[in-house]
Amino acid sequence: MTARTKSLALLLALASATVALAQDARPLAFTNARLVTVSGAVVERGTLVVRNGKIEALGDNVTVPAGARVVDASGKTLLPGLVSAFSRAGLQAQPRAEEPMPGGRRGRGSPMPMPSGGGGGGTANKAATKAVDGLYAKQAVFGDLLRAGVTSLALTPVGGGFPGLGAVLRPDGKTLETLTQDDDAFVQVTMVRDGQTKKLLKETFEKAQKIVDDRKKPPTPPAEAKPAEKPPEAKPAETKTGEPPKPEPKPEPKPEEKKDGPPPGQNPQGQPQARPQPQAQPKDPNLEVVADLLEGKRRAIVQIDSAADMLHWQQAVADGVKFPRALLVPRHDPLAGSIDVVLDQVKAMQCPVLLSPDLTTQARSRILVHPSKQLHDAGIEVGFAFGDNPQTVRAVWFRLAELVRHGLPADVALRAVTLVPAKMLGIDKQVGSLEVGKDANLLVFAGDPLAANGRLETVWLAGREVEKQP
Amino acid sequence: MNPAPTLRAAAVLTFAAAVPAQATAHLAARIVPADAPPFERGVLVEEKGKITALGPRATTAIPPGAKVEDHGDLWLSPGFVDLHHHVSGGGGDINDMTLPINAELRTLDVVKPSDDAIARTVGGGVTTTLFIPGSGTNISGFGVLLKMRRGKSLDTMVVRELGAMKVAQGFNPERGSGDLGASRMGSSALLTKALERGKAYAEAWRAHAAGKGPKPEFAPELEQLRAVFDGDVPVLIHTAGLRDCIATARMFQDVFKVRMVLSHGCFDGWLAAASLAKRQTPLNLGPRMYEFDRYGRFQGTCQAYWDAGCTNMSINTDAPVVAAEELQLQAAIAVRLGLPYQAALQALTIAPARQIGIADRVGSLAVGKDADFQVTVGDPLDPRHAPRAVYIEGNLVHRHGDTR
Amino acid sequence: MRLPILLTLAAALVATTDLAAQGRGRRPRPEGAPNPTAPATPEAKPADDKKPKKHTAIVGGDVYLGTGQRLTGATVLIADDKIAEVGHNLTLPEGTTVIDAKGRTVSPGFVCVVGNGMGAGRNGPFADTVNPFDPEIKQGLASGVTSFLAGGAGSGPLPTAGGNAVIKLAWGDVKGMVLQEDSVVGMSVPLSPADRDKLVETVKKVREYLAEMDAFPAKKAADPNAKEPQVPQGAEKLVAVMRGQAVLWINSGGLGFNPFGGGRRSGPRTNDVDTIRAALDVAKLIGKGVVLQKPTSAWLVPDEIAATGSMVYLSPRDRVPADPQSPDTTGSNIASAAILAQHGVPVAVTCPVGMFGGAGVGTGGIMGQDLNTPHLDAAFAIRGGMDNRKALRTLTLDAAKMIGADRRIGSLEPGKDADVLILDGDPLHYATFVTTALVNGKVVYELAKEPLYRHLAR
Repeated sequence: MTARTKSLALLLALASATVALAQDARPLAFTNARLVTVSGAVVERGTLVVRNGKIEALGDNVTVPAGARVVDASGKTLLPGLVSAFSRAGLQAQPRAEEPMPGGRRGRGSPMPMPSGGGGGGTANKAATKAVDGLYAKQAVFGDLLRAGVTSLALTPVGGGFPGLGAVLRPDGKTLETLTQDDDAFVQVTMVRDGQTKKLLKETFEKAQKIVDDRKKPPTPPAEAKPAEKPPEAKPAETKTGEPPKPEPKPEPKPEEKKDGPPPGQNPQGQPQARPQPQAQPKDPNLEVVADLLEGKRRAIVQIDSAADMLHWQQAVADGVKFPRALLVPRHDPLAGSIDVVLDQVKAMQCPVLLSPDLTTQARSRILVHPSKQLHDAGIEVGFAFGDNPQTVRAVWFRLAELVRHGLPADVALRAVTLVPAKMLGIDKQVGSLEVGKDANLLVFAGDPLAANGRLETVWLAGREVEKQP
Repeated sequence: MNPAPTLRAAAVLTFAAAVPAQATAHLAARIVPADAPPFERGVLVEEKGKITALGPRATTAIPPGAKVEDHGDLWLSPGFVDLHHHVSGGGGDINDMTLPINAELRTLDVVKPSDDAIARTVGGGVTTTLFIPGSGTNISGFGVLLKMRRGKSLDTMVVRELGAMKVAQGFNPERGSGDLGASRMGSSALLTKALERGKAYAEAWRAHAAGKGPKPEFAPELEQLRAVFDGDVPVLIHTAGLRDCIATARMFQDVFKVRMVLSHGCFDGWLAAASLAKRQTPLNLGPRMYEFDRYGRFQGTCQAYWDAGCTNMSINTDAPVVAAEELQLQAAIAVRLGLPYQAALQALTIAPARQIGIADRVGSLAVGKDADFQVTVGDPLDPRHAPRAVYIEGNLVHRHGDTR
Repeated sequence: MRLPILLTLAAALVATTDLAAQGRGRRPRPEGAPNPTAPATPEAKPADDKKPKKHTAIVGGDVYLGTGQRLTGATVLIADDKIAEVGHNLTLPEGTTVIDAKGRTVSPGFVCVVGNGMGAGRNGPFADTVNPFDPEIKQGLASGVTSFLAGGAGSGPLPTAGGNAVIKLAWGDVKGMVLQEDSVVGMSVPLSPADRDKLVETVKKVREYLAEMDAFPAKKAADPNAKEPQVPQGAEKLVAVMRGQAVLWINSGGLGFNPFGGGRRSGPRTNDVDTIRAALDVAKLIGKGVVLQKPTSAWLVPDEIAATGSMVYLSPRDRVPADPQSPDTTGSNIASAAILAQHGVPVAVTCPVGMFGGAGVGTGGIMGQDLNTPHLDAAFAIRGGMDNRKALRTLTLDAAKMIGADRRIGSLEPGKDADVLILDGDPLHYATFVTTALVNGKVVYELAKEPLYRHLAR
């Protein structure tokens, strides 16, 4: 957390009576709880200690610190908060009317409302555009999502090709600053099955590769101060494809950078020219972002809607183009092949896959297909995209239960809505599981979350209980 | 009882005069009677429009002086019967949409004996059709049973003036104009009311005839309905799916107990097959020959009914939905989608003849029946085979190449 | 009561499976004019000796070549995506995958000159929008379709691009799905006198351009600065047609039979012989055969059509009555396909025009009217008198010619794409099903593995 956000958070805590980010010095202990850590073994009966908003200790022989506020969690299950890695909540000025259930068409798509498809914004390379620049704060939807258990969520840019930089949001924020945890979390790449998008993808990756090649060339003497670094703190690590991307190498914009200032990837004003070039050519900030991506300094979420689109993606994007990424398949589309139809190609992407948490059917029939189990059985890490509709989010436990009933291991299902999407957003160091040092984003269930009588009782964000009523 | 018996009598007289006195023996490589096993090297003897002898040449005597028509290595099979046909009136002109109940109407009044459609129909081997009104109203009138003899005179065509009463259940006759009948419930109420009136009217006339009651007041709108309740004329009911199939069987078989034929039975109608099999409901299936089912399969409509035990089955074109001359194709599709071959052949011949009550005259090749037959180069259900010739009552009415 | 019927049924089934009669009574037709397009010259494949070829052999079936010939108990040998050899006693390379087709028939995949759906995508371009997992692809394959022309032919007073592509039903293979784009261009007749003058003028310019292009290499050798001739403005598609790179389809105005009009149609009767002659006039002007689209009265002038090397596609089932004004030069004929073929005009068949007809494979229509049963449209050509084997060409080689793809598809000849059907009977019999379909040498459909018709296996 940057100094800026900390101070802002303090200010807000003083000003607001609702959930604040100010950290309570008094420790908090959940005792006699069933701890579903997600990252490790389940602790059947244990204690979880929170201090300063972080998990300080957890286990079956943890001592409750002196002076702690104790919450007896007998018969309760503690889970990490939900992470929604595919969300457009806040991109519209007015709260959306609840979408009707699109259940009319047999064997097609998701029965649950999801953010609309990738084609909405047209196809373009706008990779350096930040989605948060279109964000409306102070929307009821964030509170609704938080109360439904979402403690971290993405802000996914709209459009085909390279629609921009996605953000990570903290759903309790009331201002843009407190709402935004990371305005530069991932590069959204959206495959659309048309000639324009395929051409754009192909050419953009080729151009970006040229920039990468240029960057590798030794700087022209005389070298200036800090010649090869851009921006200064970025230390490009060789990211192996398939490894979850590390958040550190990402070039961070300067805190004092103006909101409408140059996007990352282009040198901020006043900075020394990183790589002076003999002929000063204006850089395309969008291409710079994609070049950063190819260098492994950024991560991407690649949206591919169907098996057919996957084959077209492969045509457009050469096998050699590797970058840290996660695959997003927002809904099953049997009429263009659900993604399990191209299992080999998905495997070759060497990355986690975010899917709709549903069974689907074979095309034009009611014969059930279980894509997430297919992918899991093939050794692919599976996460779930459960969207940004609070109603839908409340139903996610039932949807997971159905997937589990049809053979997906329960621990995989729970990891798929917490730790896996956290990894995709690069926030798995802070959230996504119950581990010492992570944010105390907790869901307290009466009973088992995947059982019919399981009930989400309370949501805790950074160690503070979320009020039940808005 | 029949409101216009004179016309039929006239038809018979006119016809008798036209028939050549001489017998004709038709020789063929194979004869397919439809209600009996086919046989090779057969002969069919026709005299005065009727079949007078039929059998293998070795055992069947040809009357002396008979004209011999040798069809070589071709096959003989009965002319087809289509019970759901709308195009013998020049097209259109078959829906009177003002009132929902039109039991006083009849298609006899719109037959166009000179129409090309009649020639095309017989070119497909179809010799008898039930030309019925559309399905725009709950009772749309009475269809006429016709022989497909294009000519100058209607008399030479009519088999029965009141062929069947056409009833429509569900969807098509639903009335959006605000009056009763906007839903299936309203349709049922309208139909029940009309049928009860017709039944009472017929009973009153019967009682009067038996000397047990006063002479009923003449009601022109019910006069034709009498024929239904006297058992002379069946009802042919347009159904659109499962609900209509069940409603139809209940109304006409269980409640009013009249002679009936359930037509179409399409969409998900086959889901009612078991229930209809118990009642042995006469089915007239088509034009849609399949449903794409929930398991991604092409479920043949005819096969589904047949497998459930519905063996009283005919197949239609609903011409012009499927061209009238493609009745044969409809049966071929039924076979393709799993209906046994013999069932399909009978569904174009003897089955519809029995359903509509004219099996004594048409529907198979048998001694005493009308000499309505077609000459083909092989399997009469194969669309590759147009009839080389078609005969109605012994007269050559179509030769291959006659219709463009 | 039912038992005797079933017994009769069994007897009848045995009796009617003897369908030898179907070919009877037909005399061999003399071949008319020579083929209007150049003979099939398989594209030369660059020698690629390094990568071992994957061989598949379909063994023992009765093989319809698509050219009109049939080989009994023959083998079709496939190397990768092409046909290597067809014949008897072939030596199969080591490692060949053998598909047993004994007791079955083998045919080229059906080619439909008009189609839609089946994953074709849209113009823009088709190659980037095809859906290789469209369930309609399996349905098309189950019906025997392996290729079709998607998109329109274009219309106007000069040859115009309509945006179309020859789509192959290569399940799961984006690249394999598009054989070529814009191999068909279209125009409309009759032309106004001014438009005809313009066409004559443009044809003249194109001829000059083509002559200059022929001379250009020599000119360039002599003068490195020589300017390449420019395509006359607006004549790009005419150039393609005159070079043989595209086929010209001429809209002859066939409106088809309106089933609710009692056979009567309103509007101008443009598909009479005069319109056909106007189209043939274009063929003569450009010196290339054209494709006449559903020319109702073509059967009245088959020799004139053959003389220009033109071709015809039609539905043998469409019925248009003769115009009472000119009954001798109008009206459809069930024998159209047969008469045209007899005079050497290549004929392809399409689905009928009707309430539930359509050039796709839907699941909501009436079976027998759409591309779920293309073989029945060819069957109706036989009904009109066409030779049984020649009728298969209406769905194979002759259809491929009309969409400019006969160098690649339409027959089982060495060098052509391995688009092959294995069927459980005569390809044009109503009860025959495709049991296996290969496209580009790959098995893409098996009856027993798809729910569509598996339950009907007999």
